[in-house]
Amino acid sequence: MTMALRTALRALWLHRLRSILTMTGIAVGIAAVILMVAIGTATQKQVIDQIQNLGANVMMVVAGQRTGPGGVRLSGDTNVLLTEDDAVAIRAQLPSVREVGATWWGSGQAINGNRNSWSRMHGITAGFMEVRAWPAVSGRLITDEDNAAVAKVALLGQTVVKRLFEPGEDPVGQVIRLRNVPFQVIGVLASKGQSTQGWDQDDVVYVPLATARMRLNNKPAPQIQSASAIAGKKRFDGSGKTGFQKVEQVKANPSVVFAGAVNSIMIQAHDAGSLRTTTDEVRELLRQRHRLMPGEPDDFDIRNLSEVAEARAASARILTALLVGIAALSLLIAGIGIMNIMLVSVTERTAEIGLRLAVGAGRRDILSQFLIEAAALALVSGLLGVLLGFGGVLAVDAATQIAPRIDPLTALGAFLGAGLIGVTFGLYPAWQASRLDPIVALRRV
Amino acid sequence: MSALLEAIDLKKQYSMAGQTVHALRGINLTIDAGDYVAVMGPSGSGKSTFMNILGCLDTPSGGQYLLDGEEVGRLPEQSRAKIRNGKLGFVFQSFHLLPTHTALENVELPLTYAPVAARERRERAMRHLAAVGLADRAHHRPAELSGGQQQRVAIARSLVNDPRILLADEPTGALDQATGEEIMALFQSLNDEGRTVVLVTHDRGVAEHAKRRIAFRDGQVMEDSAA
Repeated sequence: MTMALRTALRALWLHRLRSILTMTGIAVGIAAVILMVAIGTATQKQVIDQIQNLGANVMMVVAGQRTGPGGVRLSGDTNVLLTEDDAVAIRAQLPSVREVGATWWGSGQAINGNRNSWSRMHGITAGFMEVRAWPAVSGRLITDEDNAAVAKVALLGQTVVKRLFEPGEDPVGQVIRLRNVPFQVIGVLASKGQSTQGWDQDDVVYVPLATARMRLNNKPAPQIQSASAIAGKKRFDGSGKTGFQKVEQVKANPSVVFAGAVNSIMIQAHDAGSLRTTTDEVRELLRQRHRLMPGEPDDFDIRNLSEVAEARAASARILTALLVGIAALSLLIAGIGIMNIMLVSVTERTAEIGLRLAVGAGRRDILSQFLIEAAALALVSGLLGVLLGFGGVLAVDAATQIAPRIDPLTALGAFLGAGLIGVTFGLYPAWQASRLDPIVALRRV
Repeated sequence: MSALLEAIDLKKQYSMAGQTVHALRGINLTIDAGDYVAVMGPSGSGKSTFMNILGCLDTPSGGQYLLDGEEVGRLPEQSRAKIRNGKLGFVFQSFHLLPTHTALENVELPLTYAPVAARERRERAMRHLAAVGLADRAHHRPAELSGGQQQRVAIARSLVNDPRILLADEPTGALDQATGEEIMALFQSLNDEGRTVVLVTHDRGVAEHAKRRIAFRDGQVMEDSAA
């Protein structure tokens, strides 16, 4: 066996250039497989992280555009199309919905002593953090009681904490000013990092929805409408006007902010399977609540965030499979290279094979000799390929944000795979060698 | 003397370009242990086919070939390989040494298929190299040896498994006169030591060295000096 291996290595060494060229093909193929698996795994992990970051089975309803008489589309800012009542109704009436959080979007300056930060300042209902699966690392989250009391309490993202406080300082319990209104910090959120769109999700201050509307509104002072509009369930008030008519009234005067207005409603379904039906149910409910006639377009948009993320994950998976497939194809080509070189080797060494048969080598001895040679060629290339692949992974890690990881199992698999390729593609030439007629073979010099 | 090798009505035919060629048309021969036989004849006479069958490289179409009293002509390939390895030694016109292997490794080659342990293999190969006067060339490659030296390495290789018969095919064909004489002297001394030698040659001068000459023609024995 050692003799056979030595013979094999000697034969390969004799034709150094040829061996090296063949080996390069396999090494590059193996390296490509390792690199592509590493990149693919890393990309998929990124997408999965993003999905988990978003919260599971989540969709978002945002106010859309309302088409006025004559088909003129009106800006979302000038009408109130989505209300807190809608959120309450979705939560109360749709069994497939697990949790709902309404949001009022704003932004402004936050100040703590001589430090400040210009950040997004969003009003939220208690369900929002639940839907986003976003815990506090210290303090507590915003509750229904905070909303009911229109409490001046704030929940800070990590980036805001870094801007407003000294390192190591505990923000919980401290008072900061948001748009010049003092708020007490009740909690600090866990870091979420970049969003799928690339903005810093931690550069944010959350306050109760009711408080945001009252205290942090960009628009002129809100003109609060009747209490029943806030309470929600009832669509008719003392004035005898329907809620819909009231919305119409608000639209007529853009400077008036309707008390129940929200920018978006985050909805979490119970499971991924029901996401699509939940979307239909939400659409149905909102159209009904907004008194939209059949054929009239929606005045809201439902964005299925999980679906978008899933699609992204699926495309990442497909891309990975494609890349690994191409890499595997290059291995196939490398394997054909081995076969080619082994066929040449067998032809060149016909006389040697004849002699070996004459001095007593069996067919099996010849077969294994050439198989060992092919396997040795492939395994040495496999080793080179693994090293090359590791180098590639390190280079990609250094040059990009993909952060591929070296998987020892993949490396081992690729190495053994190379050996298998050698044996597989060496089989036919070796078999040919073993079938040679010694008399004919010996005539070759 | 006992019959080491016996051919009984040995026949060989094969088809070439649709025609049946009768290479051997019934050969009856006995070669005793310790004999020294020269097989002669023009090309196409069947002498090469005869030698290939003796060497278990080819199988007869008819008749029997007995080696040491055992019918070996029709054995399967694997068994014939074993016989070639254990009972036969080959010497070729063109030496057939492996160019990538040293003289010693070339001599060792038959033993790697025996199999014999590496240490013993080395010792036996070295002993046979010394016997042909090439102990000091053991680690040279064939390209670094003269033709005569290469043929001596080949003879050492043919003897390393202590064969019952030494089969040589034109062993001096690629050598000059003087070197050829040296090789023939080597065969002579091997035969003197009791080794059975069968060699194929065109050369009458070479054949003169043998104890017995067999001439082939048209697949038949034309002349046998022992008869």
